[in-house]
Amino acid sequence: MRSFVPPLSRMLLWPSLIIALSFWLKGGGEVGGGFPAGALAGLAVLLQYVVTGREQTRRYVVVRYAAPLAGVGLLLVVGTAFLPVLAGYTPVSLFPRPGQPELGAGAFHLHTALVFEGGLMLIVFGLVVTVIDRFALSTAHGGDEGP
Amino acid sequence: MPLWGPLLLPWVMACVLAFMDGRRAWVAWLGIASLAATLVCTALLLPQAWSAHPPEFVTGDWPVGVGIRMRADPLSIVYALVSTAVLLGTLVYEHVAGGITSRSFPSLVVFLGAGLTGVFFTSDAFNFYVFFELAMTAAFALASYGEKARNLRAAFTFVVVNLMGSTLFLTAVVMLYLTTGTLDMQSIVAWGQAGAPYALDVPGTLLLCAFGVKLGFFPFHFWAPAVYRDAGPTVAALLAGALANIGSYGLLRFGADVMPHVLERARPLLEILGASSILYGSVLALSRRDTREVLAYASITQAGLIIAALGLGGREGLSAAVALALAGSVDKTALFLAQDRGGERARRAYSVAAFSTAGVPPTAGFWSKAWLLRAALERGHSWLAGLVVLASILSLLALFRAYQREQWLREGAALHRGTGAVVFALSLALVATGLWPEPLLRAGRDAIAGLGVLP
Amino acid sequence: MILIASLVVGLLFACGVRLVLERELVRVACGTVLITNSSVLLILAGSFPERGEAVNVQQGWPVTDPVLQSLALTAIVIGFAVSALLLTLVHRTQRAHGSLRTDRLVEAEVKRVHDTERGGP
Repeated sequence: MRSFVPPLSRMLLWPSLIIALSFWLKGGGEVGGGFPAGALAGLAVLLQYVVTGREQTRRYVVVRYAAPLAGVGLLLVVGTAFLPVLAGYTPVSLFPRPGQPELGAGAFHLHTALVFEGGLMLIVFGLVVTVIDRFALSTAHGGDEGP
Repeated sequence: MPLWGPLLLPWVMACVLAFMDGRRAWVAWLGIASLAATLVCTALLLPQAWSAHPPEFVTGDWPVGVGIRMRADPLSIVYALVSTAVLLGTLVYEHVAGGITSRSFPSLVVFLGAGLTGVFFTSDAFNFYVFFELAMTAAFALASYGEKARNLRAAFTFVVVNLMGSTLFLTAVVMLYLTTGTLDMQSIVAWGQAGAPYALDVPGTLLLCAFGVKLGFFPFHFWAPAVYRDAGPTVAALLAGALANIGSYGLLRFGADVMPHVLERARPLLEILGASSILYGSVLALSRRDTREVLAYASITQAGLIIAALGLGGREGLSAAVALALAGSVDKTALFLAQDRGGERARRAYSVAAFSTAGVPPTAGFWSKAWLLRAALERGHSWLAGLVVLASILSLLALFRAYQREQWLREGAALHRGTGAVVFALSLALVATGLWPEPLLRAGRDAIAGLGVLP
Repeated sequence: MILIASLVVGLLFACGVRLVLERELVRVACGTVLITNSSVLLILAGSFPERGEAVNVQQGWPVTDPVLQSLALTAIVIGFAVSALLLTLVHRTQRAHGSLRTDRLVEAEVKRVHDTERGGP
């Protein structure tokens, strides 16, 4: 009998990533934010690892380049914190400034805090996937050596 | 120089270095250059910090209380200078001593620098926690550097014990917020002056425990000997020389600046803790055979001296605590680095640092201890002064017994130029400060004068 | 409510301490995770008396303190990163020693000290 888990988990991957992205974009005005987004995306990848194994999961580009993604996220966070300095503002200034017109519609607003949250999401996602990958790698190797 | 310079630089450089392979020579030199640049940026802040209005900014131009305030008063500046210098020396040492064996080592050291400058410059209790955890996380990753089984054991002990400390600290910060309704340190000071004298006792005690774990004085020291012995020599130098500064800085900042009334009430307790830690450290240092363990117990004695100085209180005692912490940080780094490799210079550096730890003139350690003695005698606590002198003699004995046992003395190990130069520079700094103590004494005095209120 | 919260914080902390004192490294790691989470719960419990929304509050509805919630979130993020680091460390220790029990590690430790004392430094 074929288990229903592998196809189901494959079907779940993209919706979970999209929900993670929506968490990121909603953050600030609604319930959501960078950390839940990254954690959710990481969990989705973890499910793939558990169900289909390391080789299958690493076919996705996002998974292969998880560690550099965390670095990019860190640069984004530091960038949003300190780039305003170059324009003469104090560090961690929010753009558009309070009182200036905002871009966006409904609950979605475009501002630099969004970039910051995106960086946070990438850090969390990269960290989770890197750690999972390391464990998966060693269990694959450990199986051969045996205790 | 604007205040964000020394904050921004290590952050960006650490992120950039994280993408590179730290085993290459030029990456290591890039890390060294970024730490050196941070040091220069911090030094450029000196004149401003000593002026009537220390440099400060509030993030995002929010009003105070919403935005996070960063501030650089003399206490922050001297701690940041010494810690960055120690990190710089250690990174140079590790690079010239035979190459860095881990991909992420330079990046982690620069991250540690970023965390430390953040801790020293922040004026917000929770932001202190965030930077503190950044520095701790970098240190956790560094503790296992070397990848040998013993390094990993040391790292595990270090991480578990220090996580407890961090949890206590977090709890204390939240209690401070719930009690006073603000996280900004200067607003907490204002709240404390307004009344409710006993309200801050519980967070104060928790903070004492949390920083006690970092600094490693008597009842909280149990991780220190195991970790300093089993971690690599450079890592031990980083942990003992730079990271332990968070403990003494935190006690000074939260104790003397934010909650002076709590510190005033805790003085007898601090004196007893300090005295027992001095006694315990110096007696056990004599009984150990492994040089690193001797150094670890010597660092417990050192921590005890700082605590005793805090317990003496008043301007003299607190200034002595600052001087002891600064001199002790350089001492410990020099000792841990010098005992690692042989060479004529390493031998001399070890003796100088040992003299400074024991408080023999003309070294920086002598002046800081003399200040402590004066503070103790002024308060009429002659038993504490006697204990300090006794501990000095015992430390000198212990350190030179270790010196006699060390192989590199007996066999005359090969001279190593680069590493010798680093430890030589550190010991030279100690002797120079001993011969011209004015900067150290002034740093201690003005750092304390810059703090807000004193009873 | 506050009584239940404090009991749960205490229980979590006690379980964490109990686990840290265990002999197996994974349990020690789990214990530290529990202790971290007990402090996060403590932060959240601070905002229990005035229950309400932290974001998007409508007029007339109760408001809770958003600062405490953001503190809790930051503490979660940091605790999460540190737990990941700790687990990697456990894993590397296991590979280096072939064992996850602290008494084995102590044996290795004692053996090393014994060797250095007998064979000279």
